[in-house]
Amino acid sequence: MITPEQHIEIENYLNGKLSGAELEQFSAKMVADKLFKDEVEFTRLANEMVVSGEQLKLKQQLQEIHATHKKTKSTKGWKLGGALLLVGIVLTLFVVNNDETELEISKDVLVEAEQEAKIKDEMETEELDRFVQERVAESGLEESELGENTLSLEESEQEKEDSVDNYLNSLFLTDDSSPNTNGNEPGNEVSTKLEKSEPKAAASIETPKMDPCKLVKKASINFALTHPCISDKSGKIRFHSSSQDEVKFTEFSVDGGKTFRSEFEERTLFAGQHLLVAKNEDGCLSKAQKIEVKYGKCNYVIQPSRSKYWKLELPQFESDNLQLIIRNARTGNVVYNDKLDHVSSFVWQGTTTDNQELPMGNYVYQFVTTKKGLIATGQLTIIK
Amino acid sequence: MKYSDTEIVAQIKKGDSDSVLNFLYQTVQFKISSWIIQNNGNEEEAQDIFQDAVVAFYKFVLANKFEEGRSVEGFIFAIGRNLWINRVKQKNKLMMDAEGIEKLPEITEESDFLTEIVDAERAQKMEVLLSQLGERCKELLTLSIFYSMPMEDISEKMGFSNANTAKTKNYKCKQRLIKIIKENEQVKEWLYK
Repeated sequence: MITPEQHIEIENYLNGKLSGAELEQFSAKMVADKLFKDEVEFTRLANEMVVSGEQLKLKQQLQEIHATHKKTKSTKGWKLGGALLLVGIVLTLFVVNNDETELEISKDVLVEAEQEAKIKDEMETEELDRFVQERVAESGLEESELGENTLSLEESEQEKEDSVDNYLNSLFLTDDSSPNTNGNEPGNEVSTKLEKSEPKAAASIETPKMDPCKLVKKASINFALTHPCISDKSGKIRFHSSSQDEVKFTEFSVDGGKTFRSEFEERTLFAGQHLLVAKNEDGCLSKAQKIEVKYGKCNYVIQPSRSKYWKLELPQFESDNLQLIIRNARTGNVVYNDKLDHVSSFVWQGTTTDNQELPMGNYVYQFVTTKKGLIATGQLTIIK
Repeated sequence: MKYSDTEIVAQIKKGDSDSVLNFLYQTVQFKISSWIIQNNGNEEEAQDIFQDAVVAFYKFVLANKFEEGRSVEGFIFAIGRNLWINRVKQKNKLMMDAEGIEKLPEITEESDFLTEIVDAERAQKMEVLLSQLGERCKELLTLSIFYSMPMEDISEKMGFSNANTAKTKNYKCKQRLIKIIKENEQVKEWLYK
C-alpha cells in the first residue's frame, strides 16, 4: 500500500503535472522499483475504471431518456390515431346511414384486397423459382442434386454443401465460361477486383454481343453483420453497396435468390448458412456469396438476489442434442451442466447443477451440440 | 427546463447531469439522428453516435477545452458528424482491405464486431468491479477523477466537514478500488496497455 504523499505524486504524474527534475526522479524510481511501477499502473487503471464507469452511466441515462421519449411519442401517436379513427367511424356511420349490409360489403372488399396481395406475392416467388429452375436445367444439373432450396442449420454434411456450391455456381457464376471456356475452371472464385480492360476485350473477341448483366455478375455485395445471440436476439445484416462503383443494387436476398427485399437491412438473420445475392434495377443478379452466420459472443449480467435471472428463448435445434455447460471463468471448472433437448425456453438462476447458489463472479457459458460441437459461448457475471 | 450554453457548461462542471442530459437530448438528438440516417445509418447507430458525442462533449468541458462563446448545439453536432464519418471510413477501409487480399467481407466484419464487443465487455466488467466499491466511494471518486472537482466543492456537495476530510476519504476510496483491482485475476489483462 502506498502513502497519501506517494498517492498525490502518482496522480500528478498521471495527470502530466510533473516536469523537470521531479519527473526524472519519478521515472528513475519506476525503473528501479518494480512494485512502485505496479502501483502507478494500478492507480492508472483505477482512474480509467472510474472514467469508464461514469461514461457508461451517462450513456445509459441518455438511453433511458430516449426510451421514455419514444414511449411518450408512440402513446401520443396512438391517442391521435385513436381520435382520428373515432372521427372516421362516426363519419362512416353518417354516410352509410347505419346500413349494416354496406359495412359488410366494405369488409369483404378489404379481405379480397388482402387475398389478392397474397396471391401476387406467391406469384412473384413462383416466377423466381421457375427462373432458378430454368437456369439449373440449362447448366445440366440433375433435379435431385438441387434438393430443397432452403438451407437449414442442420445441413452440415459435405455432400450437401457441395451440392449447394454447385447449385450456386451453376446459377450465378458459370455464364461467363459456359459458351466459351477459355481454360478457366467454371465455379472458381471470381476475384472481386475487376480488371478494367477485361470486359471490353472479352466482349469484342469472344462474345458476339455484350451481356448487359456482365458487370453485375462479377460484383459482390458489401455488407456488415451483427451476429445473433443464441438466447433471444436475432442477427442483422446491413447491405452497403456493391464492390463495383458502376453497379447499384436495389434488391437483396439472403436465401440464394428465393426471396428478394428492397430494404437495405435484414433484421432477422438466424445462425447458419446464408446465400447472399443482389439485383440491380434491370434484374441482373450479382455474384452469390455464401456466408456462415455464427452466434455472437453475448455477455450477460444476472442478479439472482433480485430475481434477475438469465432467461433464454432458444432456437429450434431439431434432432441435434443441445447441451449447456457453465464454467467458472477463473478456474475453468464446470459448475453447471444440463441437456436442453427440445427445450424452447430456459432460465438459469445462478446455481450449480445441484441447485446450490453460486458466488458472485464471472462464469463462461458454452452451448454444445453433438453434430457441430461448440456453437456459442460468452460470459455470465453474477452480481449480488 | 431550458439552459443557456454557459449554464450547460456550469452544470456539467458541478456534476449535475440529469436535467442537462434531458435538455441536450431535446435540442441536439434529433439533428444528429436525422443527419446520420440521411447518411446511411440506422436509428440504433444514430442513437449510439449521439450518446458518444455527448460524452465527448462532457470530456471537452471538463478538460476546459470547450471555448466560451461557442454554440453547444453546433459543437455536439460537429462531434457527432465526425464520429459518424470516422466510423463509415473505418468500415469502408475494412471492406477494401478484405477485397485486396481476396477475403470475404464477413471475416473482417467479424473482427470489427469482436473489437466492439471487447470494448463493451471491458466497460461492463469495469462496471461490475466498481459496483463493489459502494455508492459513496464511487460518487466521490467520480467527482474527483471524471469531473476533476476541487476537494472544497466535493466536500460541500457530499456533506463532508471540510476539504481535508474529503481528501482523506478520496485517498481511502482509491486504495479500496486498487485493492479490488489487485484481487481480480481478470484485470491483469488490462494492465500495461
